[in-house]
Amino acid sequence: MSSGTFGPRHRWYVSILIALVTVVSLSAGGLRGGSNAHAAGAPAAIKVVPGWPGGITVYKGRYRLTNSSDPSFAKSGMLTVFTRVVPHQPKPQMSGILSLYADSGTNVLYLSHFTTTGTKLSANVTLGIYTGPEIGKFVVTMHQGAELVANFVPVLGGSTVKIQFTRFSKNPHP
Amino acid sequence: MAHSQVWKQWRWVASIALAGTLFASQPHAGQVAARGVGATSLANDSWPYFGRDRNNTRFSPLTQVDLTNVSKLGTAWTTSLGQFQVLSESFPQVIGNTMFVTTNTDEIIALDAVTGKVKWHYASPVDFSLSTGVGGYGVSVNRGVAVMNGKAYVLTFDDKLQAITEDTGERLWQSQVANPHLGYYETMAPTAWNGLVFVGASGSQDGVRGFVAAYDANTGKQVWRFYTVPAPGTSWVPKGIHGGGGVYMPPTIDTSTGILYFGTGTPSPVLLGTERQGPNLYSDSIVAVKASTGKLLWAYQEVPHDQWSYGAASPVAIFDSTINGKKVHAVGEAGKDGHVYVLDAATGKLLFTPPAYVKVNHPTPTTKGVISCPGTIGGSPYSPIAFSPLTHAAYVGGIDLCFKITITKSAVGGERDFAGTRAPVGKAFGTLSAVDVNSGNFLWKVKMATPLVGGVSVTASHILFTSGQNGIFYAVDDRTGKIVWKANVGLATGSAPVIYSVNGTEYVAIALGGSAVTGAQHLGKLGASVMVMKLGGAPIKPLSSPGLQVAP
Repeated sequence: MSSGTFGPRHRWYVSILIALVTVVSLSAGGLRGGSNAHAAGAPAAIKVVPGWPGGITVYKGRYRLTNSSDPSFAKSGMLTVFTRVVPHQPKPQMSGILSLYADSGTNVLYLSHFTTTGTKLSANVTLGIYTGPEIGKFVVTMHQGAELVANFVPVLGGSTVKIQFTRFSKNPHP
Repeated sequence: MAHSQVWKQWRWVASIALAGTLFASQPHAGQVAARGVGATSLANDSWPYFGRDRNNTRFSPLTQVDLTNVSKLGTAWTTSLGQFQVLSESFPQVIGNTMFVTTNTDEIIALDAVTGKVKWHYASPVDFSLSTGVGGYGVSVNRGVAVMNGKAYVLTFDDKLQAITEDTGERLWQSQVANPHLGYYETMAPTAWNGLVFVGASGSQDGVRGFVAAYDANTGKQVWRFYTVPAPGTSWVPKGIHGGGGVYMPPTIDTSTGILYFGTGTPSPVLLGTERQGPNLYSDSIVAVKASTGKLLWAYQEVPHDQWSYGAASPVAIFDSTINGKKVHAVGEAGKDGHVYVLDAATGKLLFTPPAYVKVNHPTPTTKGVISCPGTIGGSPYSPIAFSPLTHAAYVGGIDLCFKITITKSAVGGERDFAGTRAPVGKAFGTLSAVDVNSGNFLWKVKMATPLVGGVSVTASHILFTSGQNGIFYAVDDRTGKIVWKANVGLATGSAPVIYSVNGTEYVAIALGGSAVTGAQHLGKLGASVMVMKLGGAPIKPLSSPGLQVAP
């Protein structure tokens, strides 16, 4: 090949190179355009399991609220975790009653639909009655021995409140 | 004619004219009747007791709002009972320019009756979960206070009777009236009279032993206790945690005789009649006791050997009937079984066949299930009647809803001593009825699009006020049952309206938000607010729920 000349061999090499680049480009685009399940790094669907790990035995009892990140939400309170018979459910269901005392007054929240999603333990929070308006989720962030820490996460936005409890009785009704 | 003779004639004419003028200045019969039941000056008229007067008639003598101008009612003010408050069975009371209302978390809020501004707010750390020991029946509601001699009295879910200063909301004392670990819980407003505070307790379905007790209004010390049913293991009550006969609404005091009247709840085990033989006295009864001692005077049982949860849950009203031309001092109550009972107040004798204000058909429950009308929530779960001395009618707001009831051998439904399951069948309607207390005949009876829960109130201008589960507030001509005006207030109701006046302005108030029945049966929108209306007020805008999703 003489210097300065783009001969047939060079054109062949360039053609192969272009073809390779094209193939690689097309493959990459196809990957990006495919389902998330096929995209690199996407988590597989996590199954929602009724109840919390270990069942009611681990969590039932009465807890005293020891700390709250928002005093207007609660300065003190009581959580009772127990089981109750729910219509159309074959077995008694984990349930909770959360009494919150603040300067603005008293609120009673009802916990139901306890579920585990991966490592996330949560329950629905309703007002007035177990089938009342749902206002948020009760999400456990730490449970060790008698200590339990949870976040109250409002359904319609607003600040999450961190609340800490200490269980003083394993009997929901001492 | 001589001068003296002319003057004698004119003197006679003048005397007649003067007499006529004096006669014409007297109020007409209707007004006299109204005044006869405690009417006061229009300028300021309170609603100082649960049922406005001691007789629990829910009759207001006010006439500023009448059938010609009721459509001009508008909003005077609304006040939310709290950001997270849902459900309100509170029956407001107004004394002077202060309105007392309770929340379902047992707080007392004193409001300026003209502006709705909070004067003071009382809250105490009530334990709302103790009754979970009997299966989780933890729905808390509070139906109001009693005010007497500068103190307001309230009952809490964990069975405390508390005395609060009327002006500032500071607690003076509290007494434990029952043991919540046994399944007792409180929802009622107490009754206060003559130095005593009278209370009952809820929990029939948990097997508690029903009672009414009297406490010293100054010290909180118990003076007497009357049990409505025998102790477990005695008479008809099986051994174990059984009994029933709870008292859910404020007793009514007849101040002219010193007799206290109240209705009792269903016997337990509920539904399972085979476990308790005989009529099961004094469950499902109107009971009369001597207020000073609690001594039983008489009891009339509405439903002997109840197998449908048909307690006499709603409060008793006192009025006069005319039977066969004779005046009879009477008491009346709308039973859960769907009938209106009117009795001789002195003897408990039935004055006429109880008329049915809702569909009634309740076969004996079986393990395969039967359709029972009304259902276990009753035609009237606790709703008070109203009585008008102008029409001589008892007014009843009812629930027309049948249930399928299936008995089981033991408790399965969450309440410790409720031996069966129950589920509504079909669509729920309401009924509004006027019963002539002199005959038991209906003056009128209308079907309502919505169940009526919480009761009705009537006025001297022939307006019956009530509110439905559909969030509609009604004004009805109490002589015909015709709806003359209605307004969309947005939320369901769990109590009855109150009517009062301050400085010459008449107000119509209602606590909105729905009852426990509303929530359990998904009958309407829940919330917790007080709405007060007046003539020429702002356009009524429907109140909303906390704006949150409803749990499936």
